[in-house]
This record gives sequence, structure tokens and C-alpha cells, in this order.
Amino acid sequence: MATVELLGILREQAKVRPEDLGPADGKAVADVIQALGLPADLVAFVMVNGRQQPKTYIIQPEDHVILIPLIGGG
Amino acid sequence: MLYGYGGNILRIDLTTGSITTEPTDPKLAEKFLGGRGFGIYFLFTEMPRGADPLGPDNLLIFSPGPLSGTLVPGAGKLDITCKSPLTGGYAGSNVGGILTAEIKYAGYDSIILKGKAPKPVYIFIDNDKVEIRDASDLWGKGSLETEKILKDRLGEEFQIATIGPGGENGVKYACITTDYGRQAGRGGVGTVMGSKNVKAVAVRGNKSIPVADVQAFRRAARAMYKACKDSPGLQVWQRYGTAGVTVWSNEIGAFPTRNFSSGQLEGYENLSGEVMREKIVITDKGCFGCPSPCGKWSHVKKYGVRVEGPEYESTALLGGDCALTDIEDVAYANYLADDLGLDSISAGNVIAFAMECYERGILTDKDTDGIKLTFGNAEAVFAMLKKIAYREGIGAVLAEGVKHASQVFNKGSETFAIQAKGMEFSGYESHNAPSMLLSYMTCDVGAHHNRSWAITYDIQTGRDTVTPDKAERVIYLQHVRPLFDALGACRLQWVELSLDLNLYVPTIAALTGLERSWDDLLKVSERIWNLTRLFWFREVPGFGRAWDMPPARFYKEPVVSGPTKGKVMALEDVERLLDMYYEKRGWDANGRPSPQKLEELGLTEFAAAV
Ligand code: SF4
Repeated sequence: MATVELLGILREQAKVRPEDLGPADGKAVADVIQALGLPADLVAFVMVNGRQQPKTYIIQPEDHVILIPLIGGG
Repeated sequence: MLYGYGGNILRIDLTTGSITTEPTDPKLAEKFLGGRGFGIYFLFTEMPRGADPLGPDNLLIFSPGPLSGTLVPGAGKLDITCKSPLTGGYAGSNVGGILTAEIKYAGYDSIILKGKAPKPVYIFIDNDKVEIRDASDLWGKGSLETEKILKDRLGEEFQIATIGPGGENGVKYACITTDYGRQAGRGGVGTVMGSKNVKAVAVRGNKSIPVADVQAFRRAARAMYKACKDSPGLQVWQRYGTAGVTVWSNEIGAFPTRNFSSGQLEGYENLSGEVMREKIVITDKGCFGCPSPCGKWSHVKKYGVRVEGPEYESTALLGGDCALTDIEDVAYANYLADDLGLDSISAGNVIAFAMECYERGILTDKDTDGIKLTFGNAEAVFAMLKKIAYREGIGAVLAEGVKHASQVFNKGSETFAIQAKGMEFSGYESHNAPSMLLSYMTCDVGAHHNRSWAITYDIQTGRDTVTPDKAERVIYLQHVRPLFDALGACRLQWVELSLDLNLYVPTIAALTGLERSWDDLLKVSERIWNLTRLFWFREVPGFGRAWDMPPARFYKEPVVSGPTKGKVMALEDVERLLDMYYEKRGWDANGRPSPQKLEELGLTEFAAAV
């Protein structure tokens, strides 16, 4: 089963915890972000198994998805 | 004993050939820390008022900070300060690499160049041995080639800063390069170096930095390293560096596109960090003592060159803003800018402006010597970079910066000359991001993002609202972020890896032997900020509120496409934002620090000189 991890302020801002969401497999990252109650624009990076992916990416079984905000900037 | 410092200030008068040193004043270290703090202190107190930025009276000051060259993660940052030939005000540019550590090990906290050498020279510094050496054979060569020649001549352990033809030819946004790809890019620090006939500075140091409590310092610095290595943000940061931002910046409509007329570029996927990583990146490259090397060393097969980058900023300005969508084209443009010694941000912005002028018919083939200066034309970008560096044809006008060029081209082009205080905007489209726009408007070198970066804050608090907390946030960031430039360390471990700022406090105490709270350090940063402001008032006739205003595009011309399409700020909102900012800073309605604020910061004596 895929796992979803939140970093930084995303942890504080999410209305639902990822582990309470049910399986993310087969869902688009954007839908998961919405289900977590997060504003999509706050998620700066979507890392799936160590690679950056777009929010349209469909989550596969065994994927490890990390959602990362960008707070301090470039 | 001044713990944590090199211990000396080195002064080199290029006109007379005089070379002197004096011990670093502990009181100065306490009041201004080092790095950019020392830079503005010496510039303010030693440069004659009204000096010509390209004349012998201007100073060019290289300053590491107390953390530079130490065990602290990211201890590889150097400040270079001078009066800016681009803006006429303060220029303080920060650069990574290894040079700052070498300067510190040679025993120096600032190297102050003044005067003008009668012929091309380079500065040779091997600990206490300092010489002004002939560089006639290097003049005219590219930045990268010059570094290679000097490394071969002097030895690998010398760290070298160079200028390219842009700096030699007085391009107003020429940069200084070190470590084959790290630039002190902004404000024309390379132009000033060129005006002094200095082609390069080469430094080697073998001394150690005195540490007040070695064991405590080791413990504290190692705790910082561990926190960086354990940070979950490390994987994205190390794999992509700043290029990781490109996709998100596009998604939220912040990627400067076609001269800031839009915030989203069709085809941006081809510029993403992942595409860059797959297509051109050979390896990661970090500055001195960095646990999270964000530099990417790339081989651009299409053009047969190697380049560090492109960084997000170069991709944003040479790529998005000029509408290039092939990462290899952008990387090659980046290589040209680096070797020619041009700030890739200003250069990209200026070319995008010229492209818009061409597409509107303000410029014609006759003006461009037949170059089809249309958005998306990579060959035109390459050609313009060379024309600018050698001041050929229209390049001579564009070499003066976008503000000057718009005054020459006229025909309403000032509206879309994307600058503040005469400096071209860096890589965030800010029509629909009030805090970010305010960051650009009020940045103390001109429109640069390094002092305050507030896009996420706008997203969190509402991109259409103008509220006092936005001004407060910008001010907070303008104190925290440049504090790193005074300390001589990289801010990105905090920014990207969420390194706890409180970890710096015991580290600095163990290094210097002085207990300083974070609030106390922020006060120093505020002092530096206000002194740079006084410098602007002293040096720029009639300086004030008008200099903090953005170009009219941001309040007159709505975004043409992308997620922020149709968005534009109302002029009264821009003005309101500025009022809130001045009030919270303790400045008057013209943006001048009040006597009370100056007294609070211990700057009253400086105000007398303004
Ligand atoms: S994070 Fe990047 S800029 Fe900062 S020290 Fe490391 S390599 Fe240099």
C-alpha cells in the first residue's frame, strides 16, 4: 500500500491525517492533497520514491509520497 | 583575542600600490557582526559622499563573516559590497564557493580595494604576502578561463574571483565569479572591479580561526550537521537544488514569462528540475562545508560546454522570461552569461524587455542589426548576451540596465521595464503576490528576492489582500535572511532543510565567546538594514518613496495568461502596502528612518553624515 508523508507546515495545516485517509493507491496526488484539506498551492514539491512528480501523478501501490512546502523561499 | 574572526582588515590602494593591515575592531564586530555588516560600515564611513561608482573613490569590499570557514553547515558565504553603478545606491552581493573560507584562513575579515590600477592587475594574497600583480595577459578572457589559468599558475588551493568581458567593458550588471560558477551577481560588483582594472583576486590561507570554546563549538556545530542530514527536505534539495522550484512556480503563476506579462510558460515542463537532472546534470556541487549541495554541474551536449546550473533564477529569467523551453538552450545561455561575466538575472530580464520592445515595434531589425528578437528565439538570446558584454550596437544601451534602456527607447516602455531602484526583478512574477511585490519594492539593493521571499505567505494569507501583517512578515524576513549574509553562512539550511534557528545561538556563543540571543542578532540585522537605507539617502539625490515603487505593469496591466490571469494590483493598494511598511519600520512617509529609530539602533552619528 502507498504511504503519504507531510512535511513542515503541511502537517499543521492538514485537516485530516494521511493515515486516516484510506488507501491512496490509484488516486492522483492532487486529489489526495484536496482530501487532506490542504490548499494545493501550498504544496511546493511532490516527491515520489525520491523523484519529483507533478500533482497529476497517479499513485501506485508501494509508492512513498512526500508532500513538501516551501516556506523560506529561494 | 577576537574569537571567530580572521582578525585583520586588509586595505589595498590600487592607485598608489599601498597595502596595509590593521586589527579588526572588536566593537565593530559587536555592532555589525561581519560580512555585509562590515561591508556597509566601511562603505558608509570611508567612501567619500557622492563618489562616482566607476571612479577610483568607490570601494570594493570582500567580507567573510564570523561563521565563514568554520564547522557550521554552509559556512561558505562571502559578501561583496560597493556603491552600485547600476542603481547609484547600495550594492551588497553574496556568493558561495570556497573563497570566503580562504580569505578567513589568510586572516582577513574584510579586504577593501580602493583607487584604480594604472593597468590590468590581479590581487595575489598568500596569507600575509599580498601583491598587486600584472594581469595584462588575462584581460579580455572569459571569467571561467581566467580562473582556470590562475589555478594552473598558482595552484589548486588558491581560491579565485574573476570578472569577464562584461566587467571589463563596464556593463552595469557585471558579476564576480568564483569556483567556476558561483556568482556575486547583483548590482554590478563586477563592473566596479573592472573599473579598478582588477581582473581577479586569488587567495590562499593556512591559518586557523580562534575558537572560544572548541569542545562546545564542535558539539554545537555537529548538532547542526546532524539536523541537516536528518532533514526530510534533503532529498529534494540535493537532487534538484533551486531548479526544483520551477514546476511549482509555474503552477502558482509565479514563473516570470514573457517579460513578466504572465506567470506561467507553456512548455515549462521541459525546464523542470527532473528534466534538467536527466538531461544535463553530471554531479552535485556544494560550497565550502555544505551538507546539502544544491549546485548542479551540467554537461550541455548540444553546445559542448559545461556549466554550473542553471539555477532556478537563471532558468526563470533567461528561460521563462525570454520564453525559451529547452533546458539545453537555457543552460547554454547561462554558460555564456557566466563566461562573459554578466548577472544572468539582470541579463535575462533586460533581453526579455528588448524582446517585448521588438514585438511591439518599438525596436526594429535596424536597431537589432537584423536579429529577430522574438520571444522564444534562443539564438537571439545568445547573440544579445554577446552584444551586451562587448557593448556592440544595441548592446551598448542594454548594458546600462532596463531602466536606462526604457528611457532611451521611450514610447511607453517604462511601464514594462521590470525594475525597482534601477535593478531588474529576479525570478518571481508578483502581480498577485502583495508580500512578494513589497519584498521587491523595498529590498535594499533593488528588486532582488534574497532579502525577503514571501510567496508562501501570500498563499497562506490570501493573494488578493493587503494587510499590515504582510508588511510585518516582509520586515521580519528582511532581518532574518540577510543576517546570514552578516554571519557569512548560507541561509538555505534553514530555508530548505528547516534547520532550527535556535541551533545557531549556542554555536555562535561557543565560537565567539559572546552570548547573544537571537533577538539581539536580529537587532544587528535591523541596524545594518537602516544603515543601507541611510546610504541610499546620502548617495542618491532626491531619494525617497518613488524609488520604492514598482513599474506600472504591476498595477496597470493584468496578467495575460495562466492561473493568475486578469490579476493586477490597484495603485492605491500598492501605496497602502508601502505606508504600512514604513510605519512598521519606524520610517517617515518618504521612507526615511526616523531620528528615534536611528537612536534606538545606535545610528544617530551616521545620520549626521546624510
Ligand atoms: S545549500 Fe547551496 S548555496 Fe548553500 S552552501 Fe550549500 S551548495 Fe552553497
